Amino acid sequence: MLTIESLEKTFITRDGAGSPPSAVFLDLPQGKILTLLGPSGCGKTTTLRSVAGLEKPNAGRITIDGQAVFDGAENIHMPANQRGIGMVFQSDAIWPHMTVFENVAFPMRVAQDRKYTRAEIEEKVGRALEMVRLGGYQSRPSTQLSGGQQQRLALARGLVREPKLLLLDEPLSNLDAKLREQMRFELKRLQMELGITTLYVTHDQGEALALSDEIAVMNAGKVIQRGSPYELYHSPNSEFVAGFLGSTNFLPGKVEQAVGSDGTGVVGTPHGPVKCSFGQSANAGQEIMIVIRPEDVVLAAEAPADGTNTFGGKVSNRIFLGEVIDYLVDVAGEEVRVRARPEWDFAIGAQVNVTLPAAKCVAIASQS
Amino acid sequence: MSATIVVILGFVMAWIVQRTNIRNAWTLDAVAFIPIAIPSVIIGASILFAYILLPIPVYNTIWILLIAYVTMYLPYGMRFASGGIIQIHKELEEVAEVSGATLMQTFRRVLMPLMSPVLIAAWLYIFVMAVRELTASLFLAGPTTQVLGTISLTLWEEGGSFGNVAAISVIQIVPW
Repeated sequence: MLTIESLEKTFITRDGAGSPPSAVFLDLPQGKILTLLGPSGCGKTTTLRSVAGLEKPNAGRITIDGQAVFDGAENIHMPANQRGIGMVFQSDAIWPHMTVFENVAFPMRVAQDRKYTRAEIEEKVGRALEMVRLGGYQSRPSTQLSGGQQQRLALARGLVREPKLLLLDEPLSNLDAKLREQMRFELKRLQMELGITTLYVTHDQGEALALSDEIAVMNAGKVIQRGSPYELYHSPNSEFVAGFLGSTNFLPGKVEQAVGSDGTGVVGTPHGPVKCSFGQSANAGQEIMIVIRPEDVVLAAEAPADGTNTFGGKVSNRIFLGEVIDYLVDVAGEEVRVRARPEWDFAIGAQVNVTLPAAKCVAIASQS
Repeated sequence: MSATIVVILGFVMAWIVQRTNIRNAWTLDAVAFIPIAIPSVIIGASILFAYILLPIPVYNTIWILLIAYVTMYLPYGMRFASGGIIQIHKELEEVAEVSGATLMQTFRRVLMPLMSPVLIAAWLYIFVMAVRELTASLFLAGPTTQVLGTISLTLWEEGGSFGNVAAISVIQIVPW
């Protein structure tokens, strides 16, 4: 549906310095949501704006539905107003001088490819507003809507002409936490109902995990890893991905025992040997980084019978969050973050046994 | 009329400076701003000489006055428009573009309505200044193309018909 090949965009600043070279490859199947996730300045918004036609890349190729809308080699650059895309911006970009109705009707009023009759416009606007649960607000001045309603209005405007492709540029980042959560469900529901192919940009990992069929994690102008939210969360391919998606414990070490047939191997760490699972093959002696999620660490007062991957530690801090308790456990001078069930109740200063389940310890190639 | 031209020109130029990636667009800003530093006596005199020498038949017509006024007031129009455009979020235009609007449609349906208070203010300000203008007009007004400023000066010089001068001054003040 959408393909992006070796897309490059360099920004030249006033003092002549350019941004690092980038090359983005992506393809987005019909009817799916793909999220571009990454820190500020990683190129995710630039990629999205290039797809929309608001930015002209330096090189590469973008096709929508088989048609090239940008091709650096053949010098194709279709103007944004001919690409037939729906887009929602970070600031909802509602036109304050128009009513709710006029905001949504705009894409049809300016349409170049066909004329809409008044009845058609009324019908389609009504349907789009109904879809985002703003039915009956037609004649309101758009500035009299709340933040969440404005965001939904922007969505209705993006959807009213039933575009082939919907681009969402951090559409929820201006909303407060509660509304954001609501809107996540709304977006997911709408996307599923309409089956519209969606490219979503965000720096919020929670949003990415909640909404996407697939996530592409970007950094410094490149896609680092791409996969389902589950894959990315549980088997990151790099420290960057592991650190960006949720909080993580990192433990550096050296491979002691080569990977067995069950995919596990033993890694020597400053605290002793740790058994962990490997995504790819590794040789003995290789520098490795062990990644384990705070919620996968097990705390116990008594050491388990099988002492594998168990270390003694002392609780150095705890935060009660209601459904969970966050601990910082000092294991021989190293702090381990643990997200524990509330029944694992230890006071600050208590001695505990920290177990890292081998299946949850993921070994990834060390970058340092 | 000069107010209208200045407002439109200032608006378009300010938009080019603010919103396009054209290299060195800021020079347009700078050039448009220069007339503010030049005394209107000099502007009047230099426009007079320029159009006597140039083969463009505007001398002794109303058009030469128009050229002078547009030159003199462009900096004001440009400043007004720049300030207005800066306050409009760029995404308001971009979303129009993505929605399928051409540049003209974006100007007409999105930018102009949002800018209208600023543009009206600029128009009024420039209109009032042009009505009161005397210095540059002295050089450029011909026998058949008198403006209020030159009329009142002539009346006063040629026999002090203070009544008439006062009447014209009232007309000049009224727009405020």
